Amino acid sequence: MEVILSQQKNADCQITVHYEGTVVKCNPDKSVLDNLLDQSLAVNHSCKKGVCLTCLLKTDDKVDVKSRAPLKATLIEQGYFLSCQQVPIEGMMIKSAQSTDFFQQALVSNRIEKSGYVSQIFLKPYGDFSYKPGQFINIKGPNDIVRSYSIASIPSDNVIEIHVKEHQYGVVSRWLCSDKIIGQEIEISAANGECFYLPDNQDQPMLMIGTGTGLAPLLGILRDSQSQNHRGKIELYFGAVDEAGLYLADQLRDLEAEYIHLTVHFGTLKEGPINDMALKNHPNLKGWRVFLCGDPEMVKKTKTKAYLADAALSDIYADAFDLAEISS
Amino acid sequence: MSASLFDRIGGNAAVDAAVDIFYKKVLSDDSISRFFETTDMDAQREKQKKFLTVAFGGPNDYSGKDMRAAHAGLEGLNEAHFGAVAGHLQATLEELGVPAAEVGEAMAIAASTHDDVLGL
Ligand SMILES: Cc1cc2nc3c(=O)[nH]c(=O)nc-3n(C[C@H](O)[C@H](O)[C@H](O)COP(=O)(O)OP(=O)(O)OC[C@H]3O[C@@H](n4cnc5c(N)ncnc54)[C@H](O)[C@@H]3O)c2cc1C
Ligand code: FES
Repeated sequence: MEVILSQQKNADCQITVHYEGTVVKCNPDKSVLDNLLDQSLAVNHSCKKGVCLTCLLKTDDKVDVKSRAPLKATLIEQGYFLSCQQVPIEGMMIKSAQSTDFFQQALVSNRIEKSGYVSQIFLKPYGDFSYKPGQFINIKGPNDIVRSYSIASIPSDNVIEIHVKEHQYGVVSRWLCSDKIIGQEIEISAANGECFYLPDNQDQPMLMIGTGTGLAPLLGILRDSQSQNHRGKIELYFGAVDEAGLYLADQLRDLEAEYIHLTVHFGTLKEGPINDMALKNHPNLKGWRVFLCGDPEMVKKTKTKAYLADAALSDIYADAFDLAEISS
Repeated sequence: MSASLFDRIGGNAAVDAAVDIFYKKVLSDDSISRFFETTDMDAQREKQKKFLTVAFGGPNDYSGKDMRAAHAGLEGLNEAHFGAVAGHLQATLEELGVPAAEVGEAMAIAASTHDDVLGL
């Protein structure tokens, strides 16, 4: 016999779905994810915005285009969809994700502690691993909680580099930023995301704005563009709350000396938001390629401003580091 | 029979030309920009394209019910906001050199969505 779960027995709960043999009464206005969470069913999730891909579930039923748009064909073929982007459909049969479908083992080969509670962490995947610098991987942490981290390395480094900011109460970031992590075997997903360099217009000027560990994807994209002989000028703005948060200033100065097309600007909150400084210096972005990474509010605001400054939407690449909501 | 409003304004090419002008106007207007600000700007731009296609009398599958649903979640949306958007539509058409008669027709179509947009 199937268990029937229903939190509020009111008219809102009109739709019934099946999750792993459990009948779940759903509020049709909420996502599948929120409906399952409301019934205290454990489903992995983080951003709830269709970005991080940690909320994957499986179904053979038809789902909305939106809940599959960012997924690779191999995952779609297996019936995966993003549960945060899908509303419940009457009679839908849902299965939990099979972690072997998208996780592989990797060795944590090193961790270097930088200022501002940031660590550079180096990973060596077992077996093939292809990625574009600037994409992100999902890492499975304690209690199978999954979080996303952007790739700062380029493939010829032969090691994957990520930058992790340690959050005071953060489950996965604190685990990654501890000394015990070196030498551990951890589970990582394939690389995902659309924020990377395309060598289609190598003379195009590029504006890069990153706050905090938003520098990680920018560093990957920057180095990738130089290895692919990008000739256009690059203006990189790196902002943090304070000096300590500018955790990779030395390496950026070295790169600035090495890459003739690159200019790096640093900013702390004392001098005002880095995105405002960048837009003030570049009021006309017609023809520019723009990369925005880090704080979600900064990314959202600056995307609008870059568009109003005449950058084409198709030339704006954004990577918003949305955090999970604090659960009680 | 005379050509439809959509064809007289310039069809899909006119919608393409108008969408960026129109979207930039609403985003720059502090009294309404919050309704249009989102990380998914491509999707929002597509919505503006649909709206312009409707206002231009073009082929669309947008019913009054869709119009209602699309605006239902927008808290605090009122008469003044509707007027501001209509103003930007008119300014966009004028900027593109659409003749006054056609601008008038498009504004009348936009006005007809009033009750659905405001959920009245
Ligand atoms: C596409 C993408 C790319 C990303 N790339 C990076 C990257 O390159 N580098 C990086 O560092 N991060 C990145 N992030 C963010 C990262 O995925 C995690 O969200 C982040 O590391 C926090 O995860 P956590 O498990 O440590 O924190 P969680 O446990 O998820 O907690 C989330 C936040 O809530 C706070 N919190 C939790 N409980 C409490 C409480 N009881 N009281 C007060 N506060 C509380 C935590 O301190 C934290 O700030 C990215 C996110 C996305 C979506
Ligand atoms: S994509 Fe669904 S929670 Fe992030």
